Amino acid sequence: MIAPDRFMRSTARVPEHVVFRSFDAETVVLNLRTGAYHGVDPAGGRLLELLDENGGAVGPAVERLAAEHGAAPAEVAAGLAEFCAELAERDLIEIDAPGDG
Amino acid sequence: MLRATAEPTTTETHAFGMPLRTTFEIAGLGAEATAAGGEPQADRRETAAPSGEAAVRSAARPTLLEIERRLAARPDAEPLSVRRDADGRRVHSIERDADGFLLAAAGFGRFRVTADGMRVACDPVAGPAWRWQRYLLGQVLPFAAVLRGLEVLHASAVVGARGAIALTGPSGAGKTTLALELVKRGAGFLADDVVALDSSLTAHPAAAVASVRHDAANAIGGAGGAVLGDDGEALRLALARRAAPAPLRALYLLRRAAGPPVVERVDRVDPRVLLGAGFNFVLTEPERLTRQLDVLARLAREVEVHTASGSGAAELADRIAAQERLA
Repeated sequence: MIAPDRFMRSTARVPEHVVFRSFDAETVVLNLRTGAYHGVDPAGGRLLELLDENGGAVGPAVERLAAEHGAAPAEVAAGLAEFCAELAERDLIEIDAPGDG
Repeated sequence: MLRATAEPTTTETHAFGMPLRTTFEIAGLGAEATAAGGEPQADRRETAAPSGEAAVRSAARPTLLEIERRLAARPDAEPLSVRRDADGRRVHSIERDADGFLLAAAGFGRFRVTADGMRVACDPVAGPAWRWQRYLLGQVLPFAAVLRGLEVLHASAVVGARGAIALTGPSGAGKTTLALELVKRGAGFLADDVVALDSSLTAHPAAAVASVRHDAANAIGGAGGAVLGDDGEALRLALARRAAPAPLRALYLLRRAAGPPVVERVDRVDPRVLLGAGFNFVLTEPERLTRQLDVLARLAREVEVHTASGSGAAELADRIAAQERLA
């Protein structure tokens, strides 16, 4: 998993072979290559929407999501980094993190 | 040597959101294809050119060689779905090859659907038409509809004052019985067991036929129409057809349960439930899966979803009829 501060400086994009649609109860993420459906909670679904709106820039997306939930970005960054790492393991997101230094 | 055959008479009709031109009669699909008040709706707009129509042709007219050549499984066929009985005999299969799809079902026949869903060739088994047409109407044409860009739910549907009402649930949940009970209470019949939706969530009429268990048919009484046949388990009924599409306004998720009728609104419908209400799990091309997800997401946002349970179809129908303001 990427450290939260690096995560905030990363880009994360949903690849072309993945589509997601939001339902009230959860967001459905579909891997078109495998035909496998995944469910993410509303906060995770909202993050995907914000990443899409912000051209994949993680920092602005996390800041906006945190604001919508009345939290500080630092409070939520670690959890969202872990969430994105799980998506990446399932080939549902592509993360480009900056190098150290 | 080929036999000279006269050009077959064609009938124009529509079902599952597709304009159809058939060379044989299909029970439940009228030749006039007119909605109440005039021209059918979206169907005619889709037939701007002859190539916009789906032609359903009987394989009985061509020669036997032509039938076999057209309907034989190709060596390159990829099995998409195969179901066997306890003895290992194939009872149902769907295969894809360079020419499209071959659907075969024991007791019904073989049906070839072109890859674009525009043409269907039928090689039915011997027997009364109503029997093999159950498979044509219940599986083959819905399959073609998905190829042509519609989505199909495993649901029966009627039309009420506000629009279309879909009734979904597992086999045996009572979809057909409840639909016919609602018809008795003033709803218009739209579809039995499979309903086609387009991207605007308009529900399209299917054939005006339904398969009803004997006990349910006795209870329904006057809502059933003429009996086309009896396969021992259920009666095949011809009904009065509502030929016009209608916007989907409500979806009822039927649950088998003892006790009095209970109808409850679902505020946050589980997308798994909607995905599970689909009818076709064989076609998994990215474009189709994306479209299906789009339709279901829109359904979840715009359509009222309820659960409905209880042991009496008539009592449940009373509750739904009141809720939907049927006549």
